[in-house]
Amino acid sequence: MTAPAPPPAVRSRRWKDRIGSPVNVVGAAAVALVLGAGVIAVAGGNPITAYADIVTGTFGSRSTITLMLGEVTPLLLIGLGLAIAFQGRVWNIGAEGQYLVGAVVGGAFAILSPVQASVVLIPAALLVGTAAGAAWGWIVGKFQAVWGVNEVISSLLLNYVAIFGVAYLVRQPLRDPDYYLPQSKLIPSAARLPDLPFLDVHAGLLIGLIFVPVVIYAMGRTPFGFKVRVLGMNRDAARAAGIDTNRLIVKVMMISGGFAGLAGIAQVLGVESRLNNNLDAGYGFTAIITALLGRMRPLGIVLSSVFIATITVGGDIVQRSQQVPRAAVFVLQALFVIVLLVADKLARR
Amino acid sequence: MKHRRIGAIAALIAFGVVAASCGGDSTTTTAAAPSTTAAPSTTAAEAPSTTTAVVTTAAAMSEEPVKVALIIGSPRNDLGWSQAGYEGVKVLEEEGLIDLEVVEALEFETSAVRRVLTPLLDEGFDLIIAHSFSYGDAVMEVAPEYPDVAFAWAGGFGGTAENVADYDQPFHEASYLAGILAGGVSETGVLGGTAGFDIPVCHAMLEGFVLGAREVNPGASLISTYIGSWVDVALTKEAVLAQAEQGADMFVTCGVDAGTIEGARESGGGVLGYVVDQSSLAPENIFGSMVWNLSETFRLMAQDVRAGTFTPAKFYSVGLADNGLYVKLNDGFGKDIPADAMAKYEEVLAQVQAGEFEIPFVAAE
Amino acid sequence: MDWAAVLGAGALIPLLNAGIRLAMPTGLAAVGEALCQRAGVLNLSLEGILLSGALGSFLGAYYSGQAWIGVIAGVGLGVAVAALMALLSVTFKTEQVINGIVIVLLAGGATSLAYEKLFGVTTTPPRFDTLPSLKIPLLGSIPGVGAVLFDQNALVYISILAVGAVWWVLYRTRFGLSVRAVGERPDAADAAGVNVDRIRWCALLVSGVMGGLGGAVLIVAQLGLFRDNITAGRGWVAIALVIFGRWSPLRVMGGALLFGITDALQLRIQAAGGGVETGVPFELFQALPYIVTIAVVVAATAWARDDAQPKSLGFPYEKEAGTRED
Repeated sequence: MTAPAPPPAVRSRRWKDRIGSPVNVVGAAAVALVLGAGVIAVAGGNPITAYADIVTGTFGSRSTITLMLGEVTPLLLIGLGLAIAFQGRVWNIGAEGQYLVGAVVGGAFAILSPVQASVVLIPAALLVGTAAGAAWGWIVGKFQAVWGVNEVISSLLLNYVAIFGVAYLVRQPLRDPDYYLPQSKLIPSAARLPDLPFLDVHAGLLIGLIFVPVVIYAMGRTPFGFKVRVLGMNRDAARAAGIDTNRLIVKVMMISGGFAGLAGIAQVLGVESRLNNNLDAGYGFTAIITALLGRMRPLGIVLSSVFIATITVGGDIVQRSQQVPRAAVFVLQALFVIVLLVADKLARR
Repeated sequence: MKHRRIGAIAALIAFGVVAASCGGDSTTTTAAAPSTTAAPSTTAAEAPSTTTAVVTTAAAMSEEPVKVALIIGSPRNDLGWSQAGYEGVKVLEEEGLIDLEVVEALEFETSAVRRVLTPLLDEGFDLIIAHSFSYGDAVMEVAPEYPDVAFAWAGGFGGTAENVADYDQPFHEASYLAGILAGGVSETGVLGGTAGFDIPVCHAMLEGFVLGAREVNPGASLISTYIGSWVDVALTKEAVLAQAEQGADMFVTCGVDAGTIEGARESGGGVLGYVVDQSSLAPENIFGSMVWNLSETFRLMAQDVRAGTFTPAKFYSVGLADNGLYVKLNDGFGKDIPADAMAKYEEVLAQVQAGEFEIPFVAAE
Repeated sequence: MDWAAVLGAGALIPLLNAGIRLAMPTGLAAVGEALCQRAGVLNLSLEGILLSGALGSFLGAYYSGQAWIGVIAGVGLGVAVAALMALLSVTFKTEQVINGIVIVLLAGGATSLAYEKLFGVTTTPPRFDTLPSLKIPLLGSIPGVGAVLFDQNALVYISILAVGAVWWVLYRTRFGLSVRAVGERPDAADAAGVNVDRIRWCALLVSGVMGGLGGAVLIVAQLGLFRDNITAGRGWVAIALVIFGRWSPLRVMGGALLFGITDALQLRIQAAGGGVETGVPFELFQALPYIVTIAVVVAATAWARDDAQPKSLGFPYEKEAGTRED
C-alpha cells in the first residue's frame, strides 16, 4: 500500500513568504472581532471596553499577572509534550487522563512517603508523577504498536477511565478518614513546591521554561527529533527508511504522557493542596490548542500559553467588569483563538 | 473534562423572573405548617418565630448594606445547588440587607477558584460566600491574610477558621420527612435514589429517604444509583427507568433532578423535587419538593457581619427546624397520600420543630 | 444480587430498548463522522454539533409545538456548526484538531448563553412532551423482536433509515466513491478531476446533518427539555466509535449499540445492588462502557490487522501551488 506524501506539519519557508497579505489578516481579525462584539452586546456588555478589559485586566495588577503565570505552567508543560507527539502526527488526545494519573499517583506518593525531607520528597514526587503519566501514555503507544489500535480512540477513552479511577481512589483508599468529603489528606508541607523568587508562582513554571531549550534541542538537533519529524511526514516512508515506527510511537507517547504527568503533579504540589474529584481542570484539552497554536514549536508554545492564560484570566475579569454571563466569555475566547488561527494561516499563504 | 463544565449564566435581565419566583409563593400546601411555608422574602416581622437571629426590618434599613460576593460553581440558572444560593442572596439584596455581586467560577479546582477569588479580595467586600464544598481549600488559603473579610463556604460539617464560616446542607432532614410520605404511597415498598456522585450530603439524603419510609413501612428498601456525572440527563433518566423495572415507584434525587423527574414521569412513579419547588415540571408525579431556603442561612451571616459578631466564625446549621429548608407539598400529585403517612409526617415535623427529634445522618458505609 | 432482574427473560427486552435509546444520539453522530473521516477530515467539533443540534431541536419543537420542526431546526443548527468547521478546515485549511476543539468551546458557550438569554433564571424551565412510540402493525406484535425493533418512536425509524442512507451513499454512489478517493489519495482524486475541497465540504455537512439529528433524537424523542451540556460528552464517545467501527457506518452503529447496551446493563447491575453486595466500586460500573469499548477495539484490530484508517485523515489538501480552489 503506497501513500502520498502529505505536506509536513511544520513547513519552513522563506521569511518573506510568511508575511502574506496583511489585508487578509486584518480582514479575518475584523470579522471575528465584530462577531465577538455582537456576542458581548447581546449578553449585555460593552464590546469595546470588554476587549480592553481582557488585556488591561490581566496585566493591570501583580496579582492577576501571578494568576496568569499560574495558568501558563500546566499549559506550557503539557503543550511541550503534545508538540513532540503532534510533530510525529501521533494524535494524543489523552493528555487530560495522563495529567490526572500523574497528579494522583505522584500526590499519593507525596502523602504516603515515609521520607519527609523536601530535598528528597519533591524531586521524587515529581519523578513518580512524571513516570505515572508516561505509563498511562505507554498503554496508548503499546496498543498502537502491538495491535495497531488507533491512538485517538485509546487515549480518549483512557481519559474516562482515569476520571472514574481517580473518583474511586479519593473516595476509598486515599480518602482522609478523619474528613467529611471524599478527598485525600493535605499534601505534606515538605512536598509543596516553593514559589519562585519575586513571584507568587510555584517552581513548576521554571521547570517548564527549562524544558523549552531542551525540547528545541531534542527536536532540532538529535536523531530522535529527526525520526519523529519523518514519522509525522509519512509513517510508511518512515518505516521504509528503516525507522522502527512502533517503538518510536511508544516512546513519543511516553514522553508526551510524561510531560502531562509532570504538569499534573506540579499542579498538585504547587496549587491544589490535596487530591479530590476536581483535578480534571481541562488543561489536557486546552493544551492541545496551545501546542497547535504555537505551531508545535517550544517558543511558539510559550507565546500561545501566555495568550490562552491571558484570555482565561481576562475572561474572569470581563465577566465581572461587564456583568456578562461566563458563557459569553467562552464564546469570546473561542473567537479569539479562531482569529489567531485564520490570521496565522493567511499570513503564511 | 472541561467541555462538560462549560456552562451559562443569567444576567440581571432575569432579575424580575427571580423576584417573582422566589417572592411570595401562594400555592397552597396540604400539610406544611405555617412556619415551613413562610416565603423567603417575608419581612422580619412575619418571619417564622423559630428563626432566631432575625432583626427587625426597620433596624436593618437604617444601616449600610453588607457588601457580599457570592461565588458559584455552576450557572445561576442550574435549577439546583447554585440557583438555590443565588436566590438566597437575591432575597437579601431585595430586602436591602446586602449589596450583591455574583461571580461564576464554573469550575471546582483550586486554581479556577483562585482566579475569581483573588480579584475580589481587595475590593472591600465584607462577606465572600464560596458556595461549594469544593471551595474550602482556596478560601482557607487566603483567609488569614484578610482578617477583615468574612468568608463562608459550603463545607457542611463544621470546617471553620477564625474568619471562615461553614454552612450546612442538611438535605437528609427534608428527605427523611418526605420519605415518610413516599413510604406510604409506594405500592412496592421499593424506593429509588439517584445522585451524580457518592458524596456525603447525597448519600445521607438517599438513605434518609428510606429511613423515613420505614416509619410507615418497615419493609421499605432503597435502590440507589450513582450516575458518574451531574449533567447527563439522558443517562439519569435511563437509571431511573432501570430502577422502575426492578420495582421502584417513588424516587428521590440529589443533584441529577432533571433526568430523575423525567424518568419518574415516564414510569408513572412519584418523585421529590430537588432544592427548588419543581412541582410544575411534572405536576402529576412530584409529590413535593425539598426547598433549600438559603436566605435564612445567609441572613444570619450578614447580620453577624453587621453586628461585628461574625468572628470567631461559626458553623451555620439551619435545618428543617429553622426554616433553612422545608418540604413543599404539591396538591396536584396524581396519587393519594394515605392518611396514616400524612399523620406521621405531621407528627415528625412537629417533633423536629420542637427540637424533640433529630433526624439521623447516615454517612457512607 | 438477583441476576434474573438484570438478564432474565422479562428484563431482556427493556434492557435492549434502553440500550437502543442510549445508543441512538451517539450512533447517529458517529455514523456521520465516519463518512466525514472517510473524506479525510478529522471532525473533532462533533460534540459541538450534537449540542447545537440539541438546542436547535429544543427551540424548534418548543416554540412551534411540532416535533418535526424541532428535528429540522436541530439538523439546521448542526449543519451550521459543521459549516464553520468546513470553513476553517477546508477553506482556510487551519489545523483540524484545533478547529474542532475550539468549536466545541464555542458551541458550549453559545448554547448556554442562548438558553439563558431566552428563558432566564427560573424554577419553571420550559419542556414539552416527547414523541410517543409508534408501533408498526403486525411486526410490532412479534413476541420479543417486535417490542425491540418495531415499537419505537418515529425518530428511531428515521434514524435507522438515515444510517442506511449514509451507508448507501458511501458505497453505492459516485459521491461516496469520491469521498473514499479523497480520503485515501486526495492528489490522485484531484488529478482525476474530483474537487477535493468540495467533497470535503459536503462530507462535513453530512456530518452536521447526522450530528444535528443525533441531538434532535436526544431532545425530541427522549427528554423534551434542555440543560447546559446536555449531550454530556457523547460527541467524544462518537469519535471513538468511528475508529471502533473501522470507518464503516454499519460497524460504527454496531459499536454504538454495544456501548449503549453496556451502559444500560451497568445501570441495571447497580440498581440490582450488584455493587453493594460484591464490594465492587460503582466507579467501575460507570467506566464499564469505556473499558468494554477499548477491549473490543483491541480485539478487533488485533483480529483484522489491515489498516482501515483513511490515509489522508487529518491532513488538509493543498495543491502544489498552494492555491485554494472553490
